[in-house]
Amino acid sequence: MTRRPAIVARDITVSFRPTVDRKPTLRRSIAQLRHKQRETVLALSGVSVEVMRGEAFGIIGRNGAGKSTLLKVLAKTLKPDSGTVNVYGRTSTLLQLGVGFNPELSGRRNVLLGGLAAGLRKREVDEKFDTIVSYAELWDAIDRPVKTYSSGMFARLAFSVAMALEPNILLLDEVLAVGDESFRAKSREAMEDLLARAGTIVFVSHALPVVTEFCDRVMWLHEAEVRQLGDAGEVVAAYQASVKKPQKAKR
Amino acid sequence: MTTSTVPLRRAISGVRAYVRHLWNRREFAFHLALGNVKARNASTTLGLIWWVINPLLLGGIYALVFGVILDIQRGEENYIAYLLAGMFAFYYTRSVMVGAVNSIIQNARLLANLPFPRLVLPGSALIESAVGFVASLGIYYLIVGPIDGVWPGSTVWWLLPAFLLHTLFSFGLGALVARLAVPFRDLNNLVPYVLRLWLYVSPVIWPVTFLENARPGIQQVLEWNPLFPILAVYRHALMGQTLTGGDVVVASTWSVLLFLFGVGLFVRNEGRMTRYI
Repeated sequence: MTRRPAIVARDITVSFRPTVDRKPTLRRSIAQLRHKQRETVLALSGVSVEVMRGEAFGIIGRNGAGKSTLLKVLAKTLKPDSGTVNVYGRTSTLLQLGVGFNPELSGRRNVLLGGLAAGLRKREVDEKFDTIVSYAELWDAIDRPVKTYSSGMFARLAFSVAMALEPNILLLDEVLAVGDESFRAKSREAMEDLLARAGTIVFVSHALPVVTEFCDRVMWLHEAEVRQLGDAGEVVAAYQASVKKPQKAKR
Repeated sequence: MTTSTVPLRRAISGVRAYVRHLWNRREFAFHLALGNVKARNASTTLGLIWWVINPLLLGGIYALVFGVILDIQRGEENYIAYLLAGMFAFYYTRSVMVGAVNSIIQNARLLANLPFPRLVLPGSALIESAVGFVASLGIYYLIVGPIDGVWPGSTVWWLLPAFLLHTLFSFGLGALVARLAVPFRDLNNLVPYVLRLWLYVSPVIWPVTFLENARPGIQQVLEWNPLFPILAVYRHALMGQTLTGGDVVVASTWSVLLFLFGVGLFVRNEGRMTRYI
């Protein structure tokens, strides 16, 4: 099959200094300079991946395996220590829902803010405004502050704005598990549409049945490295087997 | 083509590309600023009018404390005009700095999720502050005119270069502090104290002539403070005080250098910013 790639990432390495308890405060930085010790934790180590157009690509792995870091690198919000990323197409990222939204403001203003944040011009947001609101089914609530929305309403509005970008490439991080059944069906439909138009979806999830069903290929990240990459069913099965083993050993 | 021109050309085209990207995001910067102001005033009755009330109250309080109660004027005839010119200008710098730092820390989600030139965020803080400052200049004469009899004169066009230089200066400083405060959060706690000290060592509350009685050496040290020449340009514009060519040269030099340094440092390696938030 000779399909064209949508994302080509080569040899991505990202290391962090441990941040949660040990922020790089001035004092510690000076101490580190003096002792020339720089503790780092590898989040990704030499990860390469090629995602094709029209493909749904899953990323699975335990917490802290580097899944979200990889998505951030593909979204180009995190510059890797080394390695290259090439993305061919218009990317919409849904690593979190409602990015750029201000809960104090009305849904109307947040559509504008979210659209501008994602890279649209104001004119484009204005043109798409009706479509966005209709799709989110929020005509009644659009002039109310977003802080009064239910989580489902919030998710619908955020998803509609992200889809209004008309992306070729969608990067998702476990966000569509929110909302009611009809919203999930709707977002699913939007994603299938995107794939049918030779779009690309990269998808981080812990919901393994969804991954198996929805994705063509899956990457299993384990401790910053690619453990396995290939057919969705096979990789998910191998991952499940490895997760179950230590539990049996405990008993 | 010699080899030394190649990196230079690459640098120039890099800067041009960055500026183009930044310009493409101008609507985002503007609406982010507007959204912030609206959100902050969403639950107040007066809403956006606070943009004008804030400097009015600020000016009123300082005029009362330092002009009436402490009677600090010492040889400055139009003390209220002098005080408010300095105070409004100082608060502009202050608000750009604080806004720039907060814009990065409060918009962590935006930074983690979306790629865009990061200078958009302090830029948005600058827009917010600049509108507030222009509003305060608008009401300057409303306070100062009736009290001190100071009205716009022939030097008022100097406001434009003053505002331009001062904006470069403040934005450079804001970008610098924002860049440093992301990995070193300690700075965030320090900034208010530094600003307070800076206010007191600048010729805002006390007249420049006040220093003539100070201990030897103090004046020479304090005059390194870039706000001396910058405030001199404002006071020339607003109240017709004398301005020397030296002041203009020093103010311009500080402004341009600080802008280039601060913004340059911010933009360089801005891809690493996401790691710290």
